[in-house]
Amino acid sequence: MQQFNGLGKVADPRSVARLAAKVCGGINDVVFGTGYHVRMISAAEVFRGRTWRLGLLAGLISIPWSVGVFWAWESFSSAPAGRRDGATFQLVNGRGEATAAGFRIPAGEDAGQVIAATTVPGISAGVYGSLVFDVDGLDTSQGSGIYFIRRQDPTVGHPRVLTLALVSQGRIEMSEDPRWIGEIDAIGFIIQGPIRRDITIRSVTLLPRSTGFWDVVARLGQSWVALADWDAGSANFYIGAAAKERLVTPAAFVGLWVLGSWIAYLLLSRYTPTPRSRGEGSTTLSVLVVLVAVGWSALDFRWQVDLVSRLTSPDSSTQADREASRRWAEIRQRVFQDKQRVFIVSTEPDSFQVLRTRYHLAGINSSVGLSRLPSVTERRVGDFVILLGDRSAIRFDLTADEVWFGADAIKAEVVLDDPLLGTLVRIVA
Amino acid sequence: MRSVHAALIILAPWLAGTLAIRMKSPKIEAGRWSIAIGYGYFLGTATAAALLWVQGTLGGSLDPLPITGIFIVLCFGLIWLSPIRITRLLGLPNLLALLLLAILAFRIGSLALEMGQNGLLHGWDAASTWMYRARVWVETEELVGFVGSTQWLAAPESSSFALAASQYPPLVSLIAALPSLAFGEWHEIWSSTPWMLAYIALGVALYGQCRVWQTPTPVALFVVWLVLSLPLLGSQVAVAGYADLWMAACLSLAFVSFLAWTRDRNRSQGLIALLMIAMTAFVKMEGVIWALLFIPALIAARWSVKGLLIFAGTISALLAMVAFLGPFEGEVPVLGRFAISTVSFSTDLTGTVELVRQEGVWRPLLVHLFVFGSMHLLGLAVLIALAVQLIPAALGEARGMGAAWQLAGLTWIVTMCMALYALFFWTPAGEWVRQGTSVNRLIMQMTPAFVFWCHLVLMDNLSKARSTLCIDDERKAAEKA
Repeated sequence: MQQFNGLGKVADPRSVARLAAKVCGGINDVVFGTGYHVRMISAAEVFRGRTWRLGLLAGLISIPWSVGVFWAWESFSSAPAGRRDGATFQLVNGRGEATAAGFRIPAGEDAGQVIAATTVPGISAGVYGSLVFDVDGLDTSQGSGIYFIRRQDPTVGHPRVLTLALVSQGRIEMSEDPRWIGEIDAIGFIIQGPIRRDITIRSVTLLPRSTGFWDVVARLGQSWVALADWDAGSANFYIGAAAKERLVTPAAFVGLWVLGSWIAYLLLSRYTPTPRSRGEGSTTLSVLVVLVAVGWSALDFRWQVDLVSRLTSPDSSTQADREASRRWAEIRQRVFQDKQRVFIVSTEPDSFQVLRTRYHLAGINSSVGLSRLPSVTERRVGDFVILLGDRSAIRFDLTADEVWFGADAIKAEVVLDDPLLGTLVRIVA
Repeated sequence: MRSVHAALIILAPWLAGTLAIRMKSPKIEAGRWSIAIGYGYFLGTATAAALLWVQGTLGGSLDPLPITGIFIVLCFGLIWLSPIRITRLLGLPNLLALLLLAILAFRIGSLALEMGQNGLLHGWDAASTWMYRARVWVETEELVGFVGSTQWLAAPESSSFALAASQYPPLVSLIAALPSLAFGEWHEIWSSTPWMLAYIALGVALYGQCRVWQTPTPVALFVVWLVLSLPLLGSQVAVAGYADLWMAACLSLAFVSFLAWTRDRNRSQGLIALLMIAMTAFVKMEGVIWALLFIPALIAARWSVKGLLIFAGTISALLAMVAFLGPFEGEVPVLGRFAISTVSFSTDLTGTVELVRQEGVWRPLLVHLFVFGSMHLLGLAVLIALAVQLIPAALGEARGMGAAWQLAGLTWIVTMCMALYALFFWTPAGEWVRQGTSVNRLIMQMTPAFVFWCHLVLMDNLSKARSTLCIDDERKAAEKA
């Protein structure tokens, strides 16, 4: 006789305990590794018709329930419309000034590009889905656009050209823009000169996304079919939806559906006037396991489709990087020699361009991204400097053999000046 | 979808041809499936080509979609009409196993193509650290040293290279360098191949360990699929070059072997566990910490709850001493010198880590675990398994903790969760959660172990429930007799 752990049950070891559905294996008896003897029970025995029917019913009931929870959440977390007056705008580029009536941009044939922006510290892109600019004097033929700055990449402006249709419509749907995610810190307006008459930006209004039931359902549907591409964040996380910051993602929906279905199953099986079947307790857990498996499969199918779509969609950054790689390979053979060091200097020392340039030069003793030119004690004659980032920060004084980066200068000769690769100089003194 | 269609137009005619030949040759005894599969390819493919020719001859534009449809319908029809029931012939479990193998093969193929297409373009840490270092060694054909940026700038004559994370262990970079060195020059695909092989090897090893616990074949394959289907784990193959996949494999396989050892004290499993635990220390910095966190689980396995309580009491007493008596410094093997106070701790390996309560971590952490798709439903599955394990224990039923493996497994899982909590909520690593950088990768290092543990807990619980029922039935039958 053998006493099973903690059960207080006494049984003959030969009368093998039984377990698991036939679906789990083609043999009749097994001893599961945790020490329990198990008899394989047929699938029909574990998941009898009643269990299947109740499980299916619970799963179906849970779908509208899960959608309802999302709708309630979206309604609950919605915010009122936000408004920023034109007087709060500041000039970023060109001519213009803030007045009591709004931000005024004077007419002029030589106006160039005028940019004015206002801060909207940390508004959630997930909450606010559209913008309405109130602008006086804007001709529909006038080239215009908007841009926004996200908290996650505060040095990058994301411009968007305003088409004639968008200008006449008045309302700009930002939620359709894949870059409109996370927290937004600033919104700007861009006017491309020449400007034929004075333009006044009176205000910008941020409208929350619609929380109507069918709009939420549509967004939920879109999150299932929205596919992504590889980016710098791919190795860190996979959103598995159209945009983040909102809870309407397939993973959240499926999780909610699993729990909802299980609760519905528990209620249905409790109040259904059918006699309790043998194995009821473990069947309840089995149903939960099956629900998780079904939900997991649905999410994985979506992930597989996403993977295949990434294969078939061409990635332009790959082409540019391959070209950069090929050209750096040529240059490194022609220019660099042993013992020379390369300083990689950029207005954005942590940028992707710095990362890739350094990688293409692996094998040459190069610095990590620096935000300044190397000092006298750090550099040697014959060492190289690669200047990247904002090209307006770089100046050459060819008569004095000087290269300026911001307020710093070094004596150097230009080896290469290329829009793709940056500026490569050799230190001469 | 175009790739799926391309795969279907190749596979559907093949399957239809195979089924047709198999149906028409039931009396062939030996090698019947090989014959059907081999001949079926030529027959099916030629028929598909003939249909395309007919389509073109009739004046229509060449569109393979109807042909694919015809063959899919044909496959179902042949299965339906076949006198040999496929399900009966192979058995439902075998069919399920085949289906899972096919899904796994498709996933591995997709990731391999992604890896070949992307190179190391999208892996930031790959290009900045792990693969950069490997490439430097391949290009220079020397094991050159790396120093931090400040040190590099201060020593212009030094031959050391600059690397922001110069203190990271070299193992993963050395693994990446090997194939390219053999190839004779830096080759991204060759150097990324070990990541794909690590992914496959992790799956194969987990399958074997499932079988050690007598998990039936389809369920074992299902467990492997659960692990390999995790999007973040797959991404680490497609965007190869990070060390986290290696850490996930080493740490999880160490845990799985350790669990097997706790069950029957199998020396081989114990030795493998030790080797894998040792390996984690050479993969990433945190490997040393993860290795040390096996100690509570080992105590639980060896001395049960009493030992665990004594250990927890000792640690609590030491922490209380630090709180009341002030900072403490010392030296221990592996960690080297260490110092601990209420505001920081430091070791030679980890450097100084400030202990500061982090704000704004819960929300992004919950979003990453339960809202984003990085790990499918793993967060939910772990919660279910924990409930299944802990609720009976909390209700006073000892059955959940009867065996050494149960207590050791639960101790390890809880210890790891506590370590992650301490890391994210009490150290500057909280920023990784807020920015969404390393949070998932750190959790991912334990996910294969979590999945395996969930499988053990759920299988065990289901088997126990049924055991009880069967015993009750048999007892009743005996009483009746």
